[in-house]
Amino acid sequence: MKARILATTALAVLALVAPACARSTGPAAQAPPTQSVDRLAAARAAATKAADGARPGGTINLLGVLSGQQLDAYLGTFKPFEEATGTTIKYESTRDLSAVLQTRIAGGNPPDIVSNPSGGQINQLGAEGKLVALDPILDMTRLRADYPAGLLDLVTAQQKLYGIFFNTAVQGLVWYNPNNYHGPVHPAAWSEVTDWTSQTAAGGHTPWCIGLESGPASGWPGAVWVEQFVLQQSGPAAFDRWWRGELAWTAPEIKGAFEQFGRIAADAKQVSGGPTAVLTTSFNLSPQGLFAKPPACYLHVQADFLGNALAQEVPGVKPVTDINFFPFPALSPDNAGSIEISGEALALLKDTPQGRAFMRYVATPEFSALVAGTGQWIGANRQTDQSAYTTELSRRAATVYAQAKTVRYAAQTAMPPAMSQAFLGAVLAYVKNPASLDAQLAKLDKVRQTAYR
Amino acid sequence: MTGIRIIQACVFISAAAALLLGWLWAADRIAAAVPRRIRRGVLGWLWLAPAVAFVGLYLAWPLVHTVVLSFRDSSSQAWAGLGNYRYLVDDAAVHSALRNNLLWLVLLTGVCLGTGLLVATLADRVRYEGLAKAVVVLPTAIPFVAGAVIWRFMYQYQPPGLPQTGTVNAVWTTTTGAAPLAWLVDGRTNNVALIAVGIWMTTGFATVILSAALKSIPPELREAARVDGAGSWQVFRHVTLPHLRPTLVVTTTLLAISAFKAFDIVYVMTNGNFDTDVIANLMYRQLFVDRDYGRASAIAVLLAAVAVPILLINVRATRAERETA
Repeated sequence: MKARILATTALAVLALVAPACARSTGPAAQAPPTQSVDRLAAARAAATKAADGARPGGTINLLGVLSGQQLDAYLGTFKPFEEATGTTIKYESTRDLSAVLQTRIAGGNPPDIVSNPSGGQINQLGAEGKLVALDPILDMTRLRADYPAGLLDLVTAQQKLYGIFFNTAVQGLVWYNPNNYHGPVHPAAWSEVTDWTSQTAAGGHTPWCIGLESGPASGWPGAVWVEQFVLQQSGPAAFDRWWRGELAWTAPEIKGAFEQFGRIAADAKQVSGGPTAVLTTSFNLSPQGLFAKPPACYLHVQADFLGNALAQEVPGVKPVTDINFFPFPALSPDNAGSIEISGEALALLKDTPQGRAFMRYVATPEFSALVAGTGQWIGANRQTDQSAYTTELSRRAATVYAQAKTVRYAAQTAMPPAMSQAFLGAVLAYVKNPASLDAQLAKLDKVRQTAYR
Repeated sequence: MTGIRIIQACVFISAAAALLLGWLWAADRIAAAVPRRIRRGVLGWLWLAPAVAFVGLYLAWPLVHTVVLSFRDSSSQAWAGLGNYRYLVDDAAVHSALRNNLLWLVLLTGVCLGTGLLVATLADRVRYEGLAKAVVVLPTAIPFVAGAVIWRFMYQYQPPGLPQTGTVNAVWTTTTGAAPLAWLVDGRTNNVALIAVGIWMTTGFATVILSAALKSIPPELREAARVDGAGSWQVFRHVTLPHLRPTLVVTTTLLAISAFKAFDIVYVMTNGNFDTDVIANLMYRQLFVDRDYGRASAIAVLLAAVAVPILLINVRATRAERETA
């Protein structure tokens, strides 16, 4: 009896271990880039200067949304600061950042620093006095020279600065696999892309992959699509009125943008797997359709981090040769050269020596060079050393950012959290049932009445 | 740093114990000083006083405060009269959430109770009773969030033709040959799919309570019924069930309250999208995302109002159970 149990257990263990040993040895995914020693040393010097030569030690509790490889890369950029000041940085990750942050502030247990993808929430919290004003801590003249005015304005409330953007990401780039995509790669107008996609759809292949699932933040990639259409179709002025809550959701500019998105996402001939797959596929996994054999799709809209992320996750994918992008083309010629960016901003909640040193550190170009060196983001600091970018893709994206005629911040992160969440929910409901568009927009207008206070 | 905390904890615990003993001593003294007639009553109330104070401070006062907040506006600065309650009556999202909660109430309570009773009764008769009950009770040991994450993987959907990565769809497509379903998105299945997770996680709880109650029935009653010629089903219906009645009522009330508390499962799996919203998730959104304290308080008062009659039934049934035991 005992021997039988022993034998069964041994077999079970073997069954669990065997597949791991028999892992296929194909081409490995690219390793994440390592930071150059010189840059790390320069960042350490910058950190020492930021702390005025002192070693305050202690711990900084940092609340953010990142996880996985992105988080590892991110924490790597703080290592020089930790080494120079003896401070430990404890990172807490949550996808539902806006709610968790509100709870912790209301509960009297705020993190020391928050890394918030919503500039709008930082603005709101700053106006409520929940954040530490950065004007007395930082060199404001240098800051105004290093960062675009729009980025600073977004996190300024009542003439005081409350946040520093440590990265920007160009949103809504159209990615493709050069090995199987044979459509326009420098389209001057959206119509060029739709001509190609209609042909492809007619030939029985779905041109697009879209994935909206993302836990409590599900729907955000679809919101990026809608924002792009608003920007490229109706222009930056309408875009600004929209995210400020001055433009009704039922207005033709917004309704038209939703309909453009629905023409793709709700059409089983245009998007791989149809609307059901759009709603259930995670945004992390949807681009892999570009590399499926046979390809499930040829085009995918995502921010600039995608290329490097795919190179590090999917075996055998090399930037530029296997994955490349073009900026989202304009729908009307007046709006050509408009891009949408998003970014995570760091805000200080507790005024401590470590906190102050940290905020001074993240405002330096040396830190920004490390951010560029992760291969995941573009540094928001205009002084970021261009040679720090690890791949051609990042350099191209940084060039797009620097040379764009019009730069706007992602509406969903500029809106107050209540409006933003309603927006995401409406995107999901719209893809599920395109006929309900008017009802969804009316609901959004109702939320707009109370969200902007 | 930790050392100081440990010392603080020890000091706190000993101080609390000392205070309690001191209070009991003082209560004795006061009781000795009052007329003999009311001494027992006074002593009883004095002993209750610390507990009543605690409950009053941490339960009763917040309850009253919530009711007060439900009559104020979103930032609790001004009075809003019945505005928040009018929102409860008018808003379509609230109606949808309440409808879903009703579904949760019926399905969760019914299936958990039925399955729990079935497992408890059948397990009672077999030698591997422990194993059978362990299998059913094990899911209650994991947190709701963990269970929700597990089942989110299980319900995964891939377009037809691709290999199904979700267990449920894999089994569904291979056994029935039908196309895979998007269990969490499709309006026909998503509510039931979420409730199924709740049932999986709560049945063990009902099983344990009912199994204990089942074992408290004197076996002589069942043997006597069998001697009189009753079949298994008749024994169950006429001997077992009547004895179980108070326990069944108590279990039903607890399951009913769980049905209204359902939050983690809905929040993690769908966040209330696709018409799966429940009232607790709505309250969370109002409180932490929209930061409308008036509406959130109104929803809380609604939940309390729904729970009170259920709790009254529970208390009555518990008293009845104690009397029959």
